[in-house]
Amino acid sequence: MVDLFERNLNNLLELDPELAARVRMASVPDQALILPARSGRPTLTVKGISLHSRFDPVAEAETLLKSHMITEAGGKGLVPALFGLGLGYQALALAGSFELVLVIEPDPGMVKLAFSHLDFTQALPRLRFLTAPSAFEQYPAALLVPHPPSVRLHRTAFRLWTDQLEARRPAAELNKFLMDLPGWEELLVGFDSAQPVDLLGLVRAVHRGTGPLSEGETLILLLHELTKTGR
Amino acid sequence: MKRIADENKNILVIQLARFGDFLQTTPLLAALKIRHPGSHLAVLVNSDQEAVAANNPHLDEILSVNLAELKRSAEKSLGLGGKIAALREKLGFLTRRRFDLVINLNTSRPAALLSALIPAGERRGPRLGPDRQRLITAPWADLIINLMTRRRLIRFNLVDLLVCYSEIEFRPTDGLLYPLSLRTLGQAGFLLGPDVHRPLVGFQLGSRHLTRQWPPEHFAALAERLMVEDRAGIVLVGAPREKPLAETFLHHLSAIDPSAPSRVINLMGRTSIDELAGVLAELDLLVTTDTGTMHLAAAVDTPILALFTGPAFCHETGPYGAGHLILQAMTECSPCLEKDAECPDHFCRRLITPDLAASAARWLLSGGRTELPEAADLGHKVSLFISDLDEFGVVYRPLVSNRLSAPDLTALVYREAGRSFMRPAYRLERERLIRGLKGHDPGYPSELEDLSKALKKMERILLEKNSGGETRDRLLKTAGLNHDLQPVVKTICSAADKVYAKSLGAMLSDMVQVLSWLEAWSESRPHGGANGSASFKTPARSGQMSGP
Repeated sequence: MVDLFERNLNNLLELDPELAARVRMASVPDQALILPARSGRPTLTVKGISLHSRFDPVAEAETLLKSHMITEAGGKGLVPALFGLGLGYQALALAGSFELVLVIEPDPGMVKLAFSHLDFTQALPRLRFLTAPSAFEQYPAALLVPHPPSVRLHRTAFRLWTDQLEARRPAAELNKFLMDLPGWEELLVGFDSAQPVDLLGLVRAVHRGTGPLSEGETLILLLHELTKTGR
Repeated sequence: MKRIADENKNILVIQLARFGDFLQTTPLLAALKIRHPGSHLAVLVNSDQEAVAANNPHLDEILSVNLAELKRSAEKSLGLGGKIAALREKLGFLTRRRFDLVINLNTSRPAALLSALIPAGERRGPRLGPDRQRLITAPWADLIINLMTRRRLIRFNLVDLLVCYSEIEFRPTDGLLYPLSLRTLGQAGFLLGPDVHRPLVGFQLGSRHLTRQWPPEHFAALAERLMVEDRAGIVLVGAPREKPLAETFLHHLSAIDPSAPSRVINLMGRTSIDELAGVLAELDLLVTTDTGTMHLAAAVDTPILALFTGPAFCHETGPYGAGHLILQAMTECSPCLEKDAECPDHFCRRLITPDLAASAARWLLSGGRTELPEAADLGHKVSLFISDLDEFGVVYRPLVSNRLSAPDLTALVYREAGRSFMRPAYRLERERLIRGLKGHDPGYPSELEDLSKALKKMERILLEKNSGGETRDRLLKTAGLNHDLQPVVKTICSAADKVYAKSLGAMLSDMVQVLSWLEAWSESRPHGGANGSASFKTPARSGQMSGP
């Protein structure tokens, strides 16, 4: 396995030497457990959270490409910014379809683990690893694509990134931002309550500004008021 | 909509404001219990008002929400979806309930949105309109909101307005309600100590905003007069944050009489709301500005001398109940808006002198046996009112007679006609109107003739069958630049409901009727009354304010 990791790292060294150094120094995540999926591909569990399908992680990653969010992003020329690398199945799948894929992985140890198990050498020229939310300034067309198990693993970091993204936009533009975001309701998958909220529908209702207030629309407006007034 | 039997209703009242506002809600709670006997009455308050609400005997259930905590909880959650899910979870105790009637009393957007979240058969009070921007409410409340642009015309106390939400047709109580337990009174006695000087006068020095605050040096001068001339004991009450004011007060008092501060009982920041209520109940008089403490004193039947300056306007939020005195500063710019921070020295606070306050306080302490200030003492910029109750609610009558100005009389017209609009069972009554004018010099300023003409024309326009747009245009044109007519015209133009539009038409007729009675009253009496003002149908001095 040394060869695979070194090959990946050497490629990264040419593209991002600072990150390559950090990955080399990093320790793999605590309680990381590599197990074979039914398909024979490696799969990963960290702190009891399965980061990939235990049946077929490659097929799982390819379903992401067919999702509404990603197909619309492709159609609008947006750049996917994947939050959470895991072993890298989603990043590799996206790199097969997009010229550029941004990857946000809070733990360099996770990159080390991924580099040790999957081949990134072909995909690396299309991947950009982001280390700070300010890096988004260079990519105004970035679309945040959360990898739900990684979000569960790094809730605080994810909040930081999403807050930074929202803070960059004036409050008045928030609804427009949400409206323009393709398939953004899928952002909720995996970390929402038991009753997912149809945010897209709600924001559309807010924009239409007619008819009776629905519960979800009222909640959005109340959230906005609480944030605005500080009460 | 299914009609629920009055006695079985499940009712929720939303009152998220401060404790003074909660106390001003207590007559509404009483009214709801009268209107719907046997109903389950719940209230939703901010969590810091739970204890005050728990003391109200009309309530069957107290629900509380902490908006600051809600915000923090939402901030901790992930993304917009997570935040909304967290908010939904936190508010589940409300959204999973169903009430037959939800009454929102607050005009803030968060309160209106909270109200919208609670499943209800019927909603009253401010709510978000279909445009998601404007708050809409009942047409009578719209009239009040429109009157807020001409606050001098307002003669409706907030307490009586809140009672209107119960749809009761009469005044339900004589005052605000805060029951006292023996334990509370015992604690008050302990706090005041064994050697209390009588009469015992409480001072509430602080106020929410500087413009409402009477200067501490004035309070000190008043204290010295009452201590020396009336052998009164002085008690300072108030919140912990107001302690610096107490220090300033004692400093000024010490400058007048170095031994006086040691005789002052300083309870500022040392009482819970309940203990404060007990202390207030022990007082012979409270001297205060427009504060929650004032409403608490009114609720425990303690006589009040209220000093109203800046944005505080006694006709809106004066002490509820009969027999309280109010010294109201009234300048060209009064009542101002709280957010108007441009006034550099808040000069109106100094118009009420310690001498005026002392003679008003003495009048209350003596049960009306001492001399009141003369009109000349009050000047043109301070009015002295006494509170009184009639079948609608509280009114503030001037104690020192003077000529009613055009705004005073217009305010009276709005009050009488507005009352019958708000509570249809309230009937205009000429005798009551005239009784309320007792002691005033008669007069019918020429502005009122113009007002009457315009109102009659507007009545005719409403009777004609025109399109809504055409009617609105003609009404606005008729009202023209008459700013005193704008509140009612705006209300008519925004009334979507034809029934209410008809009621507003009736209100115009009532306004015309009241004006005709005022004109007849003016002509039936000899002129040049108490103050010797002789000219007939001449505009009164602008800036002078008094009124029924």
